[in-house]
Amino acid sequence: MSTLLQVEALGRTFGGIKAVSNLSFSVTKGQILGLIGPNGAGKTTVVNLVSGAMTPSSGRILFAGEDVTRLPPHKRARKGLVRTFQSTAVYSNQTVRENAYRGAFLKLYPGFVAALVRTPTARRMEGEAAELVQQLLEWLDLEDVADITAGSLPYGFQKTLGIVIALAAEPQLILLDEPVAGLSAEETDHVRDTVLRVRERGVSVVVIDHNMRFISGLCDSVVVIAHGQELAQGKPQEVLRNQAVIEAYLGTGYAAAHAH
Amino acid sequence: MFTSAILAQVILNGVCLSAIYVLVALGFTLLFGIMKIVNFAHGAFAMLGGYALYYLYAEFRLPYPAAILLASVGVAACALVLEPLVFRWFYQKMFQSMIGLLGLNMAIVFTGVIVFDVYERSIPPVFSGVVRLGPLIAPTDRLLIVGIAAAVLAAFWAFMTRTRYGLAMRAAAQDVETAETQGIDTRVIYLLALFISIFMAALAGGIYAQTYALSPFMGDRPLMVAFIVVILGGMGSIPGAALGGILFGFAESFLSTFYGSAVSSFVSFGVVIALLIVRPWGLLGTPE
Amino acid sequence: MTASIMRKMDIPVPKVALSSATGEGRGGWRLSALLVLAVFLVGWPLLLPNPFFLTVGTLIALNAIGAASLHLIIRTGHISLAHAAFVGVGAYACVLSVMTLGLPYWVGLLMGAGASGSLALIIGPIVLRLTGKYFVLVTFLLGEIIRMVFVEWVPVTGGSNGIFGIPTAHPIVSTPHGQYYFVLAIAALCIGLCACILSSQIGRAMDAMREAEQVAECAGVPVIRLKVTIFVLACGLAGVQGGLLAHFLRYIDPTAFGWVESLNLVVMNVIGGMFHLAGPLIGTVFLVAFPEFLRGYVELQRVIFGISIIVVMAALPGGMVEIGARTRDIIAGARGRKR
Repeated sequence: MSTLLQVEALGRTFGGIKAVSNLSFSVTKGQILGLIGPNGAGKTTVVNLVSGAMTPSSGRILFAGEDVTRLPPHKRARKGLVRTFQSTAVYSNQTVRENAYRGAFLKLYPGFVAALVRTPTARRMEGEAAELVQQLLEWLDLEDVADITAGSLPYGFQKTLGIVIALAAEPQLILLDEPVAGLSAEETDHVRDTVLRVRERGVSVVVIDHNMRFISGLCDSVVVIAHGQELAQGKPQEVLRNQAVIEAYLGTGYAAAHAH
Repeated sequence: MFTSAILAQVILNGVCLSAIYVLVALGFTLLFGIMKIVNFAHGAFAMLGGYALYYLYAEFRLPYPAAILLASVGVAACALVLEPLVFRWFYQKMFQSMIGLLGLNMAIVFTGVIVFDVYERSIPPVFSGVVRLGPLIAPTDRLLIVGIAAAVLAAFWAFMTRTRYGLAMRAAAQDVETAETQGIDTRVIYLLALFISIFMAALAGGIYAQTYALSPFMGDRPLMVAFIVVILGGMGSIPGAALGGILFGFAESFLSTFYGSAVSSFVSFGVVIALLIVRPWGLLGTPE
Repeated sequence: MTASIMRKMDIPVPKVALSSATGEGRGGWRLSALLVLAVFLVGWPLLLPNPFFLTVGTLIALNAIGAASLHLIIRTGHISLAHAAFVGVGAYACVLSVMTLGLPYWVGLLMGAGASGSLALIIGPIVLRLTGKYFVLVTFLLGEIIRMVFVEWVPVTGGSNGIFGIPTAHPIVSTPHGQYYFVLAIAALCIGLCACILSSQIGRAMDAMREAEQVAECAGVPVIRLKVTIFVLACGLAGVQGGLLAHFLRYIDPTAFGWVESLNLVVMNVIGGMFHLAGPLIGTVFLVAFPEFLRGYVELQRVIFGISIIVVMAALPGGMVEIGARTRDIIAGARGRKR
């Protein structure tokens, strides 16, 4: 069981406010980790730090043994670390297929000059990427809508498309940023199934959300944060019974009333 | 070189320039903040204000206060006439407005060339005397201009902070959609904003024409400065436009008097560039 | 979420498809259109050897280089108001190489492109980190600073008098026909380069960056590096236009490279269509030819031109390429209904 992602004492301060402090967790190959916390807990900041959209004020991030703390997002993608987005997650004016192609940039792009001149290598890469896109679309049953404009699809579709874009980069680990926000119960279950299938492909997943039920029904391990700090870590069942976690989510009154 | 007399001149000059720039910048930022249009015809309306003042004051010999007021109101009324024809097509469409209003600028300026001819004119001064205030020898004319500009700006400030419509406009300048949901009638606000904005531009044009000279192409420079000042202050920010206008006016007065206009431009532009690289949302704007 | 699940839930699966930005499947139509265009561009001076028309044609070809190269920058999501300044840098660099250093014309052109490209390489990494309107303003100011350098650096640039008596590129190209074909050939190469970039995977990455920069970056697109590369290339091409322009007009006027001229290049793009290479080309023809052919008083010409800009922008917010897209949709709709 090798460690794929290691976050050590991660911290980020915004002009005096500690959005995240002293956060540590790790993800092993093939694991699904949940990062959960109430709104304002700092989850978005954590995603941005791990994906490279922001640099931490303190701490380290190790991916596949390498220190990626100061690496920009496109270089982390090269190493196999990608993410989805909560809003503006897809290219709304493009077809589903084109969206997938754009996600497959790493597989498609042989370098500036080679792409311009369309060397044999470039052409080969285009062929391989076409295969990958086709395979992905079939695997996630999006063949029928492949030529539909992404923006005209229902919201649930677009969320799945976001995951397709991430998968097209052939990653080792995907950060899912609030993948079920705004979805119905049925759509949420479908996302859950998709994530499990993603794991079957050998891709690790970190799911960030505030929906306790969704996270505990999906993840092997859960990290709960509030006010930028870790409240608890461990298996979903253990964490759910944790006093501090209950307080953070449901208030001290509920916690006191249900304490046992 | 830095005698008190010259310094006093520089300050007075700075006040004049600032007045012109603030008037133009406020109108420009109002149009951007509320309707999201980049009014590249703003300078053209200033130019019209200059010519209107010329005709009303120098040709028809109306008393000065009436002339300048009527001139500005007249030009603003023209803008209202143009509203359904031109402006209305570009509300909330930034790029289209830039180009479309550039077309309007071209149309107005060259109509001006046809009607007024290319040669520069000047507007005769209202008062020919000077006033002594300590070390300062100020042409009475200049003081009059500053006084009028100050009065208009004070009225603007009062309108924006004390009246219902003023507050509605400030709300719309921040966020037009939210303002709409609060029940503010955007049609009225847009027309009001356009009127006030062009009124101030025309007034600035009149002042500019009195201070410098009048020609159909005179609007280019105020437009350029408005553009810079508004982005310097933060697009859509009313206090930002005022602050930017004052800073720019004084900087230009000071630098061009002591170091020449080339250095003045170099330095001001360089400073604005540096500021934007470090703080792109301007002095008083909000980071997105 | 999949189509089959949608059907189970009785959600209608949308049927509207959009022709993709990369224009797959329209290759045959495009090639024949290009061929017709090429024949026209080469052939008309032989049928209509009017020196005035040839001058207009040459000017259109020259400006097309600037408009098309600016188009590359716009496709990455930035609008530059300094592009005419880069044309000027190229013009001065080329002319000074030829007249002061005595270098051959081709080297001069390369120096022109190199000078503009180098300047772009210096300011690009800093300035391209700015978004939207801030980039517009900074390039606007930089363009003005560069123009002021042209006017103030008298020992090198000749100051506000500019440079006169520039020789033509080569004795062969000193006739109106020669000039036209020479400029046309180089313009075709430059615009061809732009077309190759845009239709390759580079173009796909550029569009991705422009439409959703963060999503693209997380897919591995090296955003800043690519923006700078395109910016340097585009400004280099602007430098080529400058070198060609100087030897065509045979003088350099330093005030011809200011924000007004840069804005003209932007107008060519916006009015023609910002997101397709045909846009700036159509826009260039419109902006350069239209005023020339409005016979009558010069000022009235400009007034009518200004009004027509208003009308075009109001009616076709996406630019004139919309005419092409809309007619295509109408035809497709008519065909669809026939079945």
